[in-house]
Amino acid sequence: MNGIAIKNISKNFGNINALDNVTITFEENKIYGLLGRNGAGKSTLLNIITNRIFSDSGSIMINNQPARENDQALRKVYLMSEKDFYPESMKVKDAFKWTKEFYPDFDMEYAVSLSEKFTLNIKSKIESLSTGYTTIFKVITALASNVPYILLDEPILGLDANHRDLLYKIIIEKYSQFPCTIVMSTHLIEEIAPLIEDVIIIKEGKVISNDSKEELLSKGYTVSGPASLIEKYIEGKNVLSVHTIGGLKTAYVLEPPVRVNLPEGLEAGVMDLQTLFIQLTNI
Amino acid sequence: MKAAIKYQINYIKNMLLGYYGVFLLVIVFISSLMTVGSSNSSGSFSGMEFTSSIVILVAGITGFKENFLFFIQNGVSRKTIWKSRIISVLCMCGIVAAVDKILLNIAQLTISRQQIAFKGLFEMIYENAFSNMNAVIGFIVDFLLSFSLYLALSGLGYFIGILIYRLNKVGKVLVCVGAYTIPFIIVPLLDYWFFDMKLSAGFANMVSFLFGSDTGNPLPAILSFISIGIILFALCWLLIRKSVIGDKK
Repeated sequence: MNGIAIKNISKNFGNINALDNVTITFEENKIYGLLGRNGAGKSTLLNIITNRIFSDSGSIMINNQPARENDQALRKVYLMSEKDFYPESMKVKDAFKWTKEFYPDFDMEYAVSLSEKFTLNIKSKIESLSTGYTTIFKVITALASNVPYILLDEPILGLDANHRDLLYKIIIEKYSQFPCTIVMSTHLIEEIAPLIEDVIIIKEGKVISNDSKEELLSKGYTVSGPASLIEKYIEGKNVLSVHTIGGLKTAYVLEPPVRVNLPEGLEAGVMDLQTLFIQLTNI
Repeated sequence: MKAAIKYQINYIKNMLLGYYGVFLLVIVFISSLMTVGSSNSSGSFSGMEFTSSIVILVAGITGFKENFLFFIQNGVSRKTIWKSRIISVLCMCGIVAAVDKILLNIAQLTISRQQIAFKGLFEMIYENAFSNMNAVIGFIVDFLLSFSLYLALSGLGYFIGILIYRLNKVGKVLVCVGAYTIPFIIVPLLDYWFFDMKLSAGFANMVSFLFGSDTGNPLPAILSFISIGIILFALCWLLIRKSVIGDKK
C-alpha cells in the first residue's frame, strides 16, 4: 500500500521524550492536520520522516521503500519547515531553479504564477524577505515540487489574513487538480479545519487521536445551562472540562452527541475542532 | 547524484572565479607598477600554490554547513552528499592545479620579461628534481603535486567544516584552542622537558620521509598527499552519516 508508514518511532533529546512509539500512516491523496501543542513532537516527526534527524527506534516507509538514507524515497516527499535551510545569498528564482534540479517534476511556471499572485518578487534574495514572504516562498516551493507527499510545518507563519485566505484557496485548487497527500502542522486550527480530512493529534510525543475530522468531532459535544443542572447531567459521563461563567456552566463531553432526552434547561452544542483540540490536549 | 554534483561544482566555481579574478587583478597591478617604474626595478612572485591552497582549505571549511542544509532540504541523502563532494573536489583540484600551472607558465613566458620572477612552490622545494626533468614531465609532476596537495587540503577543510558543525559550543572552543596549543605549545614543551627534543626530531624525519624532502624526490609527497586526502574523506563520511539538522545559527 502506498503512503508514508510510520512504525514505532521513538525519539529522545536527552531526558526529553519527544516521540514515544508513534505509529501512524499518511495515506495517499488526503489532507491531514497534524496538531499538537508547542513541543508536542510534530516537527520532530516531520523531520524524522524526511531524514533531517534520525529516530532512536522504529521505521519509516515511503511507498513501501525505507526512507532512511534513500534518495529515491526522499524524492517523493517535500518538507516545508519552519526553519530556513536555503543559502542566505540565494535568490528566490535560483531556489526555484535548484529545486527543479532535485525534484524534476517541479513546476516552474506554477511557481512563478503563484509568486505573482502573492506579489513575491522572485528576484529578491531569500534573506531579504520578511517572515511572511519567507513563508510564502517556502510554501510555493513545496506546492510546486509536485511530489506525492507535501509536508507543511507552520505554513501560515507570519501571513496576513489576505495571504492566508489566498493560500487556503490555492491548496484546495492544487489538491483538486493534482491530488496528493498534504500534511499541515499548524496552531491555527480553526482556519485549516475546513481543509483537512483527517486529524492526528500528538500530545507529549504520543498520538492521542488519529481519526477523520468527522469521526473526531462526532466523539464529543458541549452542553451548557444552569450550574446545578449541568453538574447533575455530567455525573458518570466522560467530561473533558467544565467552564463556568456566572451561574452558567459549559461542559465538554467526550461521548457521542445526545440531542434527545436532554433535560429541560440544557442546551447541546457541536464541539468545533479547535475546542476539542484544546480540551483533549489540556487534560 | 547528478544534481548534487552540479550544485557542489557551482558552489566551488563561484568561489574560484572570485579567487582568480582577484589574482589576475593583483598580477596586472604588479606588472603595471613594474612597467611604469624604474627600468632597474625587479621583483618576484612565488608560491602561487600557497594562495590556492588557502582558498581550497577555506572552500572546504565553509563548504559544508550551507550545502548540507540545502541538500537535506531537497531530499538528498548523506551518502549522496558525501559522494558528490568527493567528485566535485576531484574536479576542483584538477582544474585549480591545471589553471595554476597554466597561469604560471603564461606569466613566466610574458610578464617575467618585465623583471618579475615567477616560480611555483614545488619548483622551489624540489628544485634539483625539476631541473633534471624535461618541460612536459616537469609540468605533469608539478600538476600531480598540486592536485594531490589540494586534495589533502580539501579533505582537511571539509573535515574541519563538518567537525565545527557537529560540535557544540564547548567542543568548538576546545578544538579551536587545542588545534593551536597542542602542536605549538604543549607538545614542544613536553618534548623539551621530557624527551630531549627527540619528538620534534622524529616528526621532522617522518615529514621529510613522507614528502621526499630528504631525497628531493617529489613522488613520496604525491602519494602522501593522496593518502592523507583519502583518510580525511573517509573520516568525513564517519561524521556526515550521523549529521542532522540543528538550529540554524
